[in-house]
Amino acid sequence: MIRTILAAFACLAGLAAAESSTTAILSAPIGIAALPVLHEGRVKPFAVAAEEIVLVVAGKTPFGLVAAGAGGERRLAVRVPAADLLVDWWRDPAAWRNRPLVHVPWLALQGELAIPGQWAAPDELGAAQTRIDAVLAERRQAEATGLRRAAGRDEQALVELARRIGATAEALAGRSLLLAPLAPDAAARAWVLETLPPLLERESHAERPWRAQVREAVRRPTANDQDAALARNDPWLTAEDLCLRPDPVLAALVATGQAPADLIELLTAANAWWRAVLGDGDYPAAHARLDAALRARAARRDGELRARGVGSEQVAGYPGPSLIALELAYHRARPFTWAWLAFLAGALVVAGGARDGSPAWRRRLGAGLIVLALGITTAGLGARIAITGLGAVSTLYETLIYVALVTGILALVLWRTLHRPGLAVAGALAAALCAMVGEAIPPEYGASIGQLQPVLRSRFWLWLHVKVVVAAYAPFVLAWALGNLALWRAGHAGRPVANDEARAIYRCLQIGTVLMAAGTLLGGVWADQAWGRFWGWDPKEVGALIVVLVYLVPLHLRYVGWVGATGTAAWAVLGFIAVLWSWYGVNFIQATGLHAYAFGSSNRLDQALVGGAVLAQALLTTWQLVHLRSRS
Amino acid sequence: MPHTACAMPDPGPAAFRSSLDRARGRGPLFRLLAAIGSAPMAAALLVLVSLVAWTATYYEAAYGREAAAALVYQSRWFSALFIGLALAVVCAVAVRWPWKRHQYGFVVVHAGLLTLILGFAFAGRDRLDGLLQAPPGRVVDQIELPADYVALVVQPAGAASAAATQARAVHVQTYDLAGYPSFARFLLSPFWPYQRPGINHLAQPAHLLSLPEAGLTLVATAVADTAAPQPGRAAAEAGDPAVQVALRMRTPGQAVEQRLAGGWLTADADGGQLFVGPLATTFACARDPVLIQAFAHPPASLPADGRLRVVWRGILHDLDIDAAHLPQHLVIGSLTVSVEERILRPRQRDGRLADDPAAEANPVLRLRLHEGDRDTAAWVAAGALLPPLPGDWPELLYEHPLWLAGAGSGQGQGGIAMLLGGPDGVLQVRTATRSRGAGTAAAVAAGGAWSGDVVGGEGSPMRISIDLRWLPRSQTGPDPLDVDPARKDRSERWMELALRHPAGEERRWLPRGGRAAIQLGDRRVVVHYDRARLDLRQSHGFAIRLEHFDEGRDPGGMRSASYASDVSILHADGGAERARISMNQPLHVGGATLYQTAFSPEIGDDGMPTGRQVSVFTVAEDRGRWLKYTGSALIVLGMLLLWWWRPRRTVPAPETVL
Repeated sequence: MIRTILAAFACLAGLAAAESSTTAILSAPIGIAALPVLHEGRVKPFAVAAEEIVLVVAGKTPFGLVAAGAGGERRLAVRVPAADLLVDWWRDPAAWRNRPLVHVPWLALQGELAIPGQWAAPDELGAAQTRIDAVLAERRQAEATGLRRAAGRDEQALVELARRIGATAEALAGRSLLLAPLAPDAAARAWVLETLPPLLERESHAERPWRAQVREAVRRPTANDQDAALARNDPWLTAEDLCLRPDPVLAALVATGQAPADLIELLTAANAWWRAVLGDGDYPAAHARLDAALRARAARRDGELRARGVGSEQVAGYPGPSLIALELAYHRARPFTWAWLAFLAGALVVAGGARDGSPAWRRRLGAGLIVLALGITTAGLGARIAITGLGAVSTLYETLIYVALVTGILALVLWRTLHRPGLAVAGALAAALCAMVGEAIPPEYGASIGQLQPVLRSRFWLWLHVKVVVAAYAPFVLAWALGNLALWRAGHAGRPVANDEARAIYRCLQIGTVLMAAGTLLGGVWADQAWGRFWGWDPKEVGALIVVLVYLVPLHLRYVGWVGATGTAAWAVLGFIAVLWSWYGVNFIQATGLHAYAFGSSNRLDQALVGGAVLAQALLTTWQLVHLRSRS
Repeated sequence: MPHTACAMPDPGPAAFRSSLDRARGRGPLFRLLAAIGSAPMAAALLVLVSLVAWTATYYEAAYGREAAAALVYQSRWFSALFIGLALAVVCAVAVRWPWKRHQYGFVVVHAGLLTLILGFAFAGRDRLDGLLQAPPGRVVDQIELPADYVALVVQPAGAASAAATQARAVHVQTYDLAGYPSFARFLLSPFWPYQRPGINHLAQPAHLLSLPEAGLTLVATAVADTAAPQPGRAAAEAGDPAVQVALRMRTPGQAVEQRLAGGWLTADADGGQLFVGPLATTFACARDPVLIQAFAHPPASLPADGRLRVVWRGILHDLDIDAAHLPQHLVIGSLTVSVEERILRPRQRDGRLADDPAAEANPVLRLRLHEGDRDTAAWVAAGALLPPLPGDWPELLYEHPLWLAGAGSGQGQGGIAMLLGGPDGVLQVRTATRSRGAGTAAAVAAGGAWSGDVVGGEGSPMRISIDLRWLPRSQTGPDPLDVDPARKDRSERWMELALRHPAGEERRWLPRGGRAAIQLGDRRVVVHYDRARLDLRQSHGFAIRLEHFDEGRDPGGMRSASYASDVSILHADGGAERARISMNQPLHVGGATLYQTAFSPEIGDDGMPTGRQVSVFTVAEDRGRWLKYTGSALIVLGMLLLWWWRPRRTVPAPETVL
């Protein structure tokens, strides 16, 4: 059984390691990856932002050229790094409007729009736009009548497609990436307010985000309000404004010679940078000049924000070069892929050395591999914490990685105290599974480092409540793995589950229940502090409560002999369904309609996979129990 | 059942004596307490609470937070579940007295659980939990509570002093009245689907409040939970005739049928007219059955400029219009009807109608009516009735070949739906298009509905359909929206209240926030229905004013990163102080706590956003808070004690099931 599982793991590892060959479209210069850009409310390396943009548009990275197969079916033929792809989109947007790149994963829409495959060219989506317009009009009408209506699946798909079409247009134009704050201090704001309004009024072509924000700000009735509104809106200039097709309004202002010197320098540096990207000029020098211009301007902005008292914990400042380098290194290293491989290798080696008479070095090597995996995981999570400045346990992805870490540590500690190598094998396998699932799930589950909701921006509570609750999942994961292992071994040997195995499982359940209860009650205290109620029967709260209650049942029934060693193992396995519900189900299965986080056909597939796995596990455990009863 | 005689993990069952074990040989009361406090009872209760709580989250997902709170979490049976749990905890601890050291953890955990449950019970229904909307610069002190409120005020005739006024108000829970399913019914819904009514007519009116000294009782007879925010009309014993009109349009290449505007037309002095794009809908009521007959059976042919049909004293008089020879006069006894002007393609210009060659043909007549020393003037459009004129004047109808035979050759777009209500309660419907002339004709009985195409048909690129609902007598009421319960639609709440008095009863539909004045003889009774509110100044001695709302954003981003409100606290004793309320940093004042909850754009008097934000605070006061905190701390402490003082012996295990 173990061999089968390990073989399956090894197979998956091989698949993940296989890299497809890449052919560059227009190779972006080396070094471009580290350019700091603002994307989705955070300044990050160009390469990271490019991947996130390509993911939103194409649903896949690396992405590249799509070719038609023999049956006309579209498939991805050439893959290139996201940074290269984005630069190529910028270089020739007209050509890319005719190439398939917008991800349309919905089969019904593919059929309706006659798209032979998952990707459509932006110019092919004109027909979709008519339908999207109709759906949006229908929505507006419903809202006008006062009806707050949740969208059906087809409607959601269309709205999501509309979002992707918009994102594609922005990406091709170079508007997805923001580069520099427009008006970082009072002098520059005054300049904007005095100089821009007449030009803004004359402006008629496509609206730019920064211009829309400035226009909103200058409509304020008094100068003070305008100033405050402009500071609040914090408009930034896009890559398009600065480098690709510099905004004529800005260019005109610079031409008057009255613009601030750093703006003139910024525009000049940015133009030279783009020419160097296209091969005209010395790239490293152009990059360094633009980087310096951006930092000079950002330093003025951060100083201004600090002077206004908002640059502290609430609003992240402009990151230093070392943080950009750290994020780039983290992004390139893919530490959690290595971590799960190391966990897996550790489990294999310990399992190989677990038999009596095996040389001790095998166990030591296994332990070393698990420690290495823990080190990599800690470093990866540490990098994420350094990048966000917050707790780094706020998405499904991060919780999976964090649970892998805690499971690994717990397994090592229990191995040391209970002297059973099986604990390390089960723990490392479970940790590998968690980290592997984390790496395998779609990026919308939080692999990219995004923005946090205001309520979550409390380091104190994020560490105290969220980390404790999520840490509680780890002993339950370990108990689940141990339970399965124990039941399998019992069935194999034709005897009830061994007491020392049940003892380890029982320990895990104890630790998990204490952590879960403590974390849930701490959550109550936080909810009382943040929302004004200790307990509100919110589905997530109920999910946590159910986990505590479900695991309390065997802890009670053991006393009266209704649950013994086999029962403890079975409960550890089946009770894990409650953990899965609290962890995944509440957010992704129950949260339909108005509260949905993510949706789409892929989500249905995920749900089917999780549901199928739960059903298979329940059937397997039931069969094992019946089998054990009949044998005894 | 297998017998396993091997070492079991701690805490060793030998150190444990079950409640039932302890009860052996004791009295019946002890045995009962032991049974309640037994581990199997605890396990059963834990499973039951888990299942109920899990299912309740689905109730909440289907019907919303407030409905779930009202019908599940604050229900008596749900409280009973926790009382049972508390009882089991007390019994389990009590039957083990006197406690030994290894039981201290167990006792502390269960004492913590009990304290926690007590904390919830202590706060109970009196716990303050409301919303305070604070527009910038305005002093606010009214908290909206999650309940409804109904008030009755009786003002006797000529009573100038407030002392003579009788009043009573109650808080009411309207979720069960609104047709939300009970939890038990919800459990059956997978097998027996539940369709929640848009308007729930109660089989038994629900008693709300009584004023015995005034001989008045207020009951609820129906509740509408999914109605449009703007008032509609509801059928009534007495009231004005009204037609509900909804228009749908489908154009070629469009997959979805588009809903155009709609609304209620009432036959008041101005007549009811609705113009939506290329379609005009006119509604009027006639007093005379002769005119109704003339409308329902239009002539087969008409002169080129149409015919004016006049009903006076029960007799129909026709005047064929000749636009080239105006004015024309129709003399009926002492009455003279003069056609002064005809405009073929009218357009409003500088406040008056003028002919515009660029406009669509839509002929109108300017009429003057004269009898003795009185006279009046009015415009009447082809296809439309002359709206009822104040005073005793004839009813008129202007028939024109455009709306009877059409302009031919597909010229011109659009059409007209002409609606005429009669004294017999029947609504006559005629439709016509500019290009083809007369379309459908129908008669709709009182309370009935009708649907049909107005524009479109074979070969036509566009189709406009009309849906009608006809109420010969109606009053203001809720307008139920076309809702799909599976899609969790929510909208405004209306309640139909019946005021019972010695001589009968008066019914009125009221939206939340609405009031109705009912005259009962010489008494005036005002009924008021609203959200329950609490005056912070009276209850807690302060009010607040929002000075500044601060929304922090991530750089360049449009999403909120933080929000905070600077407020002035105005104490009842005249003192004032400044404070800042932000996410995770509430403000404690006067025994209540204010939490930053949300914000929304402020809308100015002109209906446009002012650019400033209205801050929304949750105001809460929980007297059970410290019990909850203490209980939580005890539970965690007890769990650690359980671990610390666990028996360390390993002993033979008892018989086990698994």
